[in-house]
Amino acid sequence: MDRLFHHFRWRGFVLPLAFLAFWWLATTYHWVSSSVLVPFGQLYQSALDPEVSRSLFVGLEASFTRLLEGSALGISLGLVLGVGLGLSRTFDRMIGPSFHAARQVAIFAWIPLLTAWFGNGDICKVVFVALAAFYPVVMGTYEGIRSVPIQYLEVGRVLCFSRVRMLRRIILPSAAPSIVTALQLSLIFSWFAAIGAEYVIGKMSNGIGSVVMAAQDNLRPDILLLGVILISLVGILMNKILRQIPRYLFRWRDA
Amino acid sequence: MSLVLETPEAVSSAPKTARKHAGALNLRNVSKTYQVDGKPLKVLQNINLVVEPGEFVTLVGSSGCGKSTILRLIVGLDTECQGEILLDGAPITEPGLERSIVFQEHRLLPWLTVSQNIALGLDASRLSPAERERTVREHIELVGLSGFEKAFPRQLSGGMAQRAAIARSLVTQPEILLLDEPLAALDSLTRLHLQQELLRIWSREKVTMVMVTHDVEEAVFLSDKVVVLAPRPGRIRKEIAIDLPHPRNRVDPAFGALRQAVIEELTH
Repeated sequence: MDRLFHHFRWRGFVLPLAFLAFWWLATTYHWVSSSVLVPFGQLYQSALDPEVSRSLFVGLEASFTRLLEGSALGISLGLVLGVGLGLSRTFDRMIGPSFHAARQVAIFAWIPLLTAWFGNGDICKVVFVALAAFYPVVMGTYEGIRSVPIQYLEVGRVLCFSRVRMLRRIILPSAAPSIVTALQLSLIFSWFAAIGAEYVIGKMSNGIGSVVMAAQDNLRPDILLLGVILISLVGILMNKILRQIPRYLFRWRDA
Repeated sequence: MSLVLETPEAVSSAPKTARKHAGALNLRNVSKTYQVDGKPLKVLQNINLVVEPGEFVTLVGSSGCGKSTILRLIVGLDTECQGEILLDGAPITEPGLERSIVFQEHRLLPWLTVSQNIALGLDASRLSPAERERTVREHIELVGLSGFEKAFPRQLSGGMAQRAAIARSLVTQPEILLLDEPLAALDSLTRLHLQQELLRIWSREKVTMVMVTHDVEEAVFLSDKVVVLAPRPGRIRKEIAIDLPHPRNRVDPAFGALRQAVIEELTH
């Protein structure tokens, strides 16, 4: 049974391997032009070229910095709004409808407005990343706080907890799993937004998205492909790392 | 003789921060009405009850007789009622640390360990960290959970979780402890054992206890006074004094007679 399971697991690799085989055949027998699909060898050579790898890693660093700046801004504002909406019914009734309406706007639809307000430089991209990070945090925090069991709140009331102590000792820890899930989503969305912003909002930046766009303009499919592979790897890696955090933080709920 | 008294066990087992005194509880003409679909529904009617300091009183009755509502009013989670509820002569208007409650579900916070859960009761107190740690340790010993300090609630059996909940409610040194069917969800063996434990804790802590139960034998086994409630609206049918000495014997004819008396009032 166990072996069969592993069999099934490996079936996931059939398609990628077939693709790689096709790639190899296509480039070796010149079925397609090398500007569409770069031969393996050339990709490998480019990766070893110090100038190419330097531009890619400088780009990665720049994009990552913007990701951190933007998500820090979006997450902190999102936490404040989420806690506010979760704790106060009045605040929820006042702000809630506008927030949920704004949430319906597809994130990329903000770009023309953002470029009009903040230009097409770094600030605009950071704001865009912040916006992407903002929504999931507000939703997760709000839901987490609203679903704190009343039984736990009564424990705090019987122990004469002040509002601050109630928040610190009961409400936030109870909402923590939901908030952390939201933070994970938020960081992933921020990464999409950081790259997306570089693709869409002006190429005059040094992020890895811009490096990829420039490679397209300069007819360097090898750099383009390396850039895309690097972006995907960072996304996969972030996902893997972020998945481990709740496992450690919330040991108390695992059986 | 003094040597025997000063063995480490004797010194450490009784919590040192003794409460000032056990509370006297007085309910005068307490009535409560809920609004259900715009119509008034009377849940409590003219409850008059006196609980002496250090007394163990149980409230028994079928479901819907407002037993739990009475406890919620005393602890201050619910404040809307007619009549007066007095603790040591002072009216109750909100929750207070001189009153404590053990719920039917243990309500331990799942993200805190046993000792952190028990320490929660002292979170707002001005005790030094050393005193706090000592008080928590004493109460863990009191309820017999030594060795489980670092366990999370999900790792505990129902009986152990309820012991931890009892320790959390006692750590604040309340004058009165309210127990809302604390043993109802436990298997019968654990239940018998925890009944003994409750008696031991009561006699050591000398705290006033008011317990709600629907188990007649449990009520007669534990309490000084059994208050029989009638349902819809909840009202007191009869108070029956249990003047048997502890430890009580469940097969003793006198015990059986009292149990029978309570059952007759309940099924009246």
